[in-house]
Amino acid sequence: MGQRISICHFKTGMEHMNTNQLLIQKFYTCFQNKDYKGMQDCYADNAVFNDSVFKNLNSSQVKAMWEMLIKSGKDLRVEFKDINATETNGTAHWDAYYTFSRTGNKVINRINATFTFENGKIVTHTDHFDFYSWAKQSLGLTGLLLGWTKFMKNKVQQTAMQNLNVFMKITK
Amino acid sequence: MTDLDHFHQYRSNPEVTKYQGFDVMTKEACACFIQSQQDKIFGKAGQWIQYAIAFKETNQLIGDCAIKLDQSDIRLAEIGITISDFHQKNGYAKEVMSGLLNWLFETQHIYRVTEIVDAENIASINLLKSLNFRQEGHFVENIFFKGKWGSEFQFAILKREWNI
Repeated sequence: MGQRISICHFKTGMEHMNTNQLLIQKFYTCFQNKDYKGMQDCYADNAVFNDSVFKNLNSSQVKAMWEMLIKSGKDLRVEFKDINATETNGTAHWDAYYTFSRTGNKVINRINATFTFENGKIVTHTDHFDFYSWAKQSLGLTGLLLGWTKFMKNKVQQTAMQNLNVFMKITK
Repeated sequence: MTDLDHFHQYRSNPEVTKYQGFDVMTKEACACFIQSQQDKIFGKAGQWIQYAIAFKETNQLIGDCAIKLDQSDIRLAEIGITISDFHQKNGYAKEVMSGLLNWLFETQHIYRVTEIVDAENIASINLLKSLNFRQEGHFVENIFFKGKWGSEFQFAILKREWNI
């Protein structure tokens, strides 16, 4: 080629990503595309998931949770950034924009995710977000008044787990 | 800025796409397009493959070029080129075309290269003529695109003509 110009492949920004960064990239790209099967494929059979609502979900449960979330979240939009990963650990930030179906309230949930990996799959996945901030947005006045209480958090956790169990029975 | 940002900047400019076979593109369409090129390998008959044109020193994307090998004979190639409006009229297109032709004729042993160009695209026509391309065809109002009938020229060059 000439002195000033080169012809090359397009750079997608993923050229220098390691395997686990690519795995996280795949996970959230699938999420954006509402491809829950692609997301499920990222988890190991012994995977464990935690966030402020769901506690210690096993591999089947977390896979079902994403399927339930995608199927019920009609206007769900996901943005993600800051993907970092080593051979064993990883982090990412993602924002979820959706309507909370029970109240019709618009929610923006800002989440920091941490991962551990084995054999190219996610074995632990923990989403960290501010439960009170989420409760205020999603539950309105109830969330504002009670979102900080242990009682409210327990109630939300129980309801979410019941919904997941029902969903898993229906889709079995 | 990433390749996608630069690509979208010029591919969304109607002045850049005015004489091209594609229309202005959204950023999402640009992202899909770039992604679609990742798994392509040069040499497949009948398939357009798109390459980035970038500054050697900075890697900044300033345009793109495309090559298609003929469906029935892969010694025949068709090419196309787009340069960002920010970088036109600096001789980059000629530099790219020269490099591309060298590579196609000398390394890939292509026998003949063609380019179809809008009959109103004077800059591209002059570029092709300056590179020793021969005008072979004038297709009068052969394409309805961007709301009107357009005419095109076919230019071509053989390997032995490039070597002159």
